[in-house]
Amino acid sequence: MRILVVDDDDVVTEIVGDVLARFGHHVTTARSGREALELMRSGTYRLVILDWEMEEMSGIELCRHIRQRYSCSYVYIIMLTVRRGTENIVEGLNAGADDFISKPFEPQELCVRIRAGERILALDSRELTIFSLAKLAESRDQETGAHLERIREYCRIIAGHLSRQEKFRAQVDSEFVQLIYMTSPLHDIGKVGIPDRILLKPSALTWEEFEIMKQHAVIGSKTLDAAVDVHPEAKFLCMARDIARSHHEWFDGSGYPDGLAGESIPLCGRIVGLADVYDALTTKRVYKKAYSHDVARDIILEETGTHFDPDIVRAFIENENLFVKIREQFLAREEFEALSLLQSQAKFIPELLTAPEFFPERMIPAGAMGGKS
Amino acid sequence: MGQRISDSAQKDGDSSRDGATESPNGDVFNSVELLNRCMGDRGLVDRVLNKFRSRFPGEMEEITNALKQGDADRVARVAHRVKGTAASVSAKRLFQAAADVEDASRTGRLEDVLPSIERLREEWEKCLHEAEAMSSLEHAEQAVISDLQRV
Ligand SMILES: [Fe+2]
Ligand SMILES: [Fe+2]
Repeated sequence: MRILVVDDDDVVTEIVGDVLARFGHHVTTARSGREALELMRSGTYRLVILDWEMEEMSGIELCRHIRQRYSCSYVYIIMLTVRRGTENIVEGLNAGADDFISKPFEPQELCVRIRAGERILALDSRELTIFSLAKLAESRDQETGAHLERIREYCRIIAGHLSRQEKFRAQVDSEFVQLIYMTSPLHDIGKVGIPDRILLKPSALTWEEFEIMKQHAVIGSKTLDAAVDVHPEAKFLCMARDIARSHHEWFDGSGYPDGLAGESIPLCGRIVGLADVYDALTTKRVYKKAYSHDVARDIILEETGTHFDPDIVRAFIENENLFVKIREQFLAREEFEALSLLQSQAKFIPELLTAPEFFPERMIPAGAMGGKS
Repeated sequence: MGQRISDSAQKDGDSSRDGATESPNGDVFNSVELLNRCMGDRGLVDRVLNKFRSRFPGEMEEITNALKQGDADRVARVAHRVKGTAASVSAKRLFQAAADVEDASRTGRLEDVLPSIERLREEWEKCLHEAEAMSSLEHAEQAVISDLQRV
């Protein structure tokens, strides 16, 4: 669990940080409320331990700020204080604290409290629901593997980078980062409405087929729009709809379905657009091999300003080592999983090892399935 | 180990206050408690005590300046912070001294604060000596450590 510890007392941050690391947590420390809010923008901290008494911004004020700003996914707040007494507890609870630990803390107690926090956070199951929905929609399209998992990681990296840029600060805060992480997997949900003969066709699409394929952006956004009508307050639905609709728009206005250009394309759509293309380029598909990162980067650079927003390309380039890392992680995981599956099934049905259905994308040359039209 | 350190720190006669429940020697640090808080890691205790020592000049200066400016609120805030630090390193008497400064300055009568600040300085200096002694002691006996590693 990633934990942010905020205290202006370096003796406390030293002990708390060390103890939590021992229990397997990733700890970041901040010395002031301001610094903490800055770090929170990354959207990676869902559990915060904060000191009550701090200069400039007190823990109570910090607590209120967090509650005001981050309504989308829950942040669990534990206050650390030498204060005791009911009136103090009430004040803390009013500001939005979830739990209290009195100073001096005891390591075992600290860890028990954190485990309680983790349990509460796990109850926040929206993320899981959305992701299962996206997975279901994707299940017909078997070749893409961990596409959705990678996409959301790429989106988080880009959005996290933008959140630190002056130009985007106002728009991209930690809530935005978490929302895009949560909703980017839904970008192709409209593919449920595309017939198999087109979606699963292993060769290039005809013009007519491509026109139908393009409809997935409209179908997806309409489906989600119906949900937005019922729950207009649900920000994640709005973002999911915007992404579904605009992830194939081009920066120069030559994309689909609406031909939007520049900043009239929702920012979330521009981010997912790049992440989607990068992933398509760097993974194997029925009709093509996987390109290396360098090739994919060159293609993306080539299309800066035409297909892609230059600011987003910059965010991608400045974090390319992270992209490479994520891609490698998933590659290793997929190979491992494919191998274990192969081994477990081969035990029972040895012919599987040679059956083309087993690894269609590896064994069938493009077009060999006779699906040409 | 707590006992030995306490003995060496025992210079004044302030032993009656917590006589019933605590060690009769008013210990500067409850080092058993501190070591336990650091999960038995002496390296961590060292790092923590170093941080603790380096805080002394800054905090005392801030209190002195605030006092000069008649800023009782600031005195109270610094004292409160010291109180928190003292609690974290299990320096009980320092904790009490800081609490006294905080209480006195919250009432806003700065002339009453002065003696309590003096006592805070004395306590902190004792802590500094003790912290130094603790790190040069080549650390506690194995028996104590194993006792603490019971979890
Ligand atoms: Fe798409
Ligand atoms: Fe996609």
